[in-house]
Order: sequence, then structure tokens, then C-alpha cells
Amino acid sequence: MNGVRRILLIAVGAVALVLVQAGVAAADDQLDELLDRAGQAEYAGNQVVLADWDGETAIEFFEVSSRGSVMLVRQQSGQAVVANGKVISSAASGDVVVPEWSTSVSQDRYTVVDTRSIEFLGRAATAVEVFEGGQRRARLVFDAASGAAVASELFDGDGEPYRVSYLLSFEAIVDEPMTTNSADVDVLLPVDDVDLPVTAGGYARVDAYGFEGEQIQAFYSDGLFSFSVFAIAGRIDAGPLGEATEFEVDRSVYRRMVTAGDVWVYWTAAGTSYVLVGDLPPDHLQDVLSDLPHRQRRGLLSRIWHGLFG
Amino acid sequence: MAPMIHLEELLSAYLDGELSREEVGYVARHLDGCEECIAEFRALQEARAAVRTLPRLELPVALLPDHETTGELLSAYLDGELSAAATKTVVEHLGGCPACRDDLHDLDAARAAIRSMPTLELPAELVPAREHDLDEVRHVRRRAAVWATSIAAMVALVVGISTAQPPAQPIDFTSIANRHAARDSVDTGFIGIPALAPVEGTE
Repeated sequence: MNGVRRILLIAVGAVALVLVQAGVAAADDQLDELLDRAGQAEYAGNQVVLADWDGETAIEFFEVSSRGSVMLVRQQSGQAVVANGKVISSAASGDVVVPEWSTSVSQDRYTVVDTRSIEFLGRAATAVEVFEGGQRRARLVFDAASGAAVASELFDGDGEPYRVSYLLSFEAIVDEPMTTNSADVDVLLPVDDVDLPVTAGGYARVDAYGFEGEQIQAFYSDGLFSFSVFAIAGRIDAGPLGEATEFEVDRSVYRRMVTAGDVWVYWTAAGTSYVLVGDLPPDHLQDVLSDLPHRQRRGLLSRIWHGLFG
Repeated sequence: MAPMIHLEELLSAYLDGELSREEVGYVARHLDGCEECIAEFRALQEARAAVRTLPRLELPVALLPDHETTGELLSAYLDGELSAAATKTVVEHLGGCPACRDDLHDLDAARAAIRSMPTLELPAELVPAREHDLDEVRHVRRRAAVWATSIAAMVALVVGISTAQPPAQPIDFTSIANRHAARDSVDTGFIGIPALAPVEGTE
């Protein structure tokens, strides 16, 4: 067992202990309300995010400042300001704005089974356990005063944690100036003609956008988790993603790269390259990939035939 | 008894009176005991007699071809390749030149010996195939060439298709991360850390 996985399990055990000590409160379906409030919270702090995806681990530390609907995330490699469909990063390019979006789907398949009042970082907090059927899917902790999401534990289909996130410090007042101005912003325009399924693995395709004429971004959500699928016509150089961990789903081959906050998946099918990025659980990912365009392994002659005649 | 030696090369000189006394004696004794040489001697006598019966035409010396020139024409004369005028010249020379008549006789004997040589039978495996078999071989080779050309063209086409594509564009991780984060920021789902590029963007 490597260091990141050990830290992850110890962290999950510590939060569970806090929950037990706080006692059981009345269960409530407050998830929508809690998530809406967290999206508007004002706070700052240091945050650690750990991921363990089938033994592939990642850990990252962030400085986070959130005020209203604007969030500043800073890490060693740079920073980004995210605000109401807009991302302004410190990178030389890539600033982007989404001018339109549809109403997100509700979390129909999730149920808040347990809500407890706890303490987290010495502050009053509310912990909720979210289940998908009989499967525990998430344990979330919200700061009582600010509404900020201060801790989260996400579980895979086997009930094992695959991603945990904790604030290590908490400041209720944000002094950080957070600008959302950018001279060069790519505007994502909605498109209707999308060759991607309306639903995939229980996720609904909420919106789709075109980019640079040949790229389509389809955004999927199930109300709790979300991901985007980027369909890029022609060949691309996937860089490190093209040499990342190979795995199979329904005899189709994919490449996977795990970061602390997301999983990146790369594959090709019918002359199109696909990149999926999101925070969905591993078992959800398998279901999703099965529903998205994919290519099955073929023999040499079959590949030659399809290469020649489609 | 003298040894049985065949002396064909001495017979002509014997007939021409060109042998020494000792040689004449030797040839005479040999002819007395060797039937094969006797037969050869008689044939040679008849040939000489026949040559001597050729018509003799007296030509002006200026028109008489010299000996060497006529000697070069004897082979063509035997083959019937000379024109009528050349044939006439050779015949006239032979009438007055015993040496050329002897050469003609020897040359004709040599030709006859060559013609009498047995025909060489080639081994079966060296005998050229029948024309029908050759046609079959040529047909198979043509078909093989067509197939080989077709396969080579197909391979070239496949290789061309697989290699003649435009260069791959590098993926821009920063752009993709930001686009997902932008849309995710207005989603009502779980509030986590915005998607960040695993590596720097390409620009």
C-alpha cells in the first residue's frame, strides 16, 4: 500500500470518527439546498485533495478563496479564477467563457440517508451521507456558518474511497482580489447537432458547445457528479495522455490519467479522438464509456478493411 | 610382317608419284595385306579419274584466276553458293590445276565425314518443353505477375492511407480543463476543485 492510499484511508477514518462522536441527527433531503449554498459561500483556506484510482494515486495541495460565485484556486503550477461559467487562468492562453447553459438535472438517483451535526476545524458543520440505491457514494461536510463544502469523501462501487478532499485551514473572510477580466477569451457557443448520446451511464447530456469548428464539448451531469466529453475530429497528439495507463471496457481500449480532482480518459473511434474529464466514480466511468462511441478491437484484416472503406 | 598401319595420308601422294622409293615400297607392301587401305586406294583412284574427266577449257592467262583465289572459292563451289560466272571460273581453274582438284577432293571428303557424324541426343531434362507446356508456364507467370502487382498496389494504398494523413495536432490540456471547469462552475452538482490541466497547455 503506497503512501497516498494510506493517507487517504486514515483521513477517511478520522472524519468517520468525528461523525460518530457528533451523534446522529435527523436525515433530510437537504442536498440541493446544501450544494446551492456551498456554491455561494465565502471562505479561504488550504486544501488537500487525494485520489486513489485502482492503485493509481495523486495528491495535490491548493490555496482556495471563494467569494460569492467566484473561486480562486492557486497551486504551484499556476492559478485560475472560476466564476459563473468563466475561467481565467494564469496560463498564456485558454481563458474561456460559457455564455449560455441549461438547467442542471436533479440528483434523482441519490438519496441523503444521514445528516449529522459535527465539528470540523473547530467550527460547527453538517455532515451528510449520500447513497445511490444501497451504495454509499459520498460523505460531505458543510461549514454551518458559511455553507462552504469543507470536506468530502467519494466512494467507488465497492464502497472504497477513491477521492477525498479536506480544508486544512479555514478563513471566513476573503481579502483576495479576484479579477475575472481577460483580454482574450474563447467563447463556447452552444450547438445542437451533436453526435453523442443524450444519456450515458445514467448521466444526462445537459449542454454541448462547439470550439474552433472541429471540436465538440458535451457536458454531462447526474446532479452530483459531472464530466465533459470532447470530440475532436481527426488525429491528435494526446501527449502524456496517449501513453497513460491503458485499460479496457467492453473490449475497447482507453488511456487514463488520474489527477487529484479528476480523471482524464482518452480514446479514439471512427476517426474521432475523444477526451473525457470529470469527477465521476470509477464504476460510473465504465458505464459511461460503454454508452459513448467506442471502438472494439479488430483483427488486422478487419482494420485494413475499415481503414479503406469505413 | 609389317605392322598393319593405315596410311590414308600417303595414298594421295602415292597416286601423285610424290613418294620416295622407300615410301613407295612401304605403301605397296601395306596395300598387299590391308583390305581397308585397298578399298580406300581404289576410291581415291576413282575420284582422281572423275576429276580428270572435267572439261578442260583453255583461257587466256590474264583471265585465269590465281591459285590462292580459287582455293578460297572451293568451299562455296561445293555448297553451290557461287554465281554462274564464278562457278565457271572455278571449273576452268580446276581443269588446269591438279593441286586444287586434290584440295577439292579432300574438302568434299571432310564434308562427307562431318555429315556422317551421329546426331547428339540431349538428355530429356535438357530438351525444351513442348510449346503447349511453355504457353502454360507463361500463363501462370502472367497471372502471378498480375497478383503480385495487385497486392503491391494494395499494400501501397494501405500504407499511403495510414501515413499520408495530416500531422496530429497536440492536445491542449489547459484549454480542455478550462472549458470543462467553466461549464462545471454553473452546474449544481458537487462542489470540488475545478478541473486543472495535468500538464501545461501547448501554447
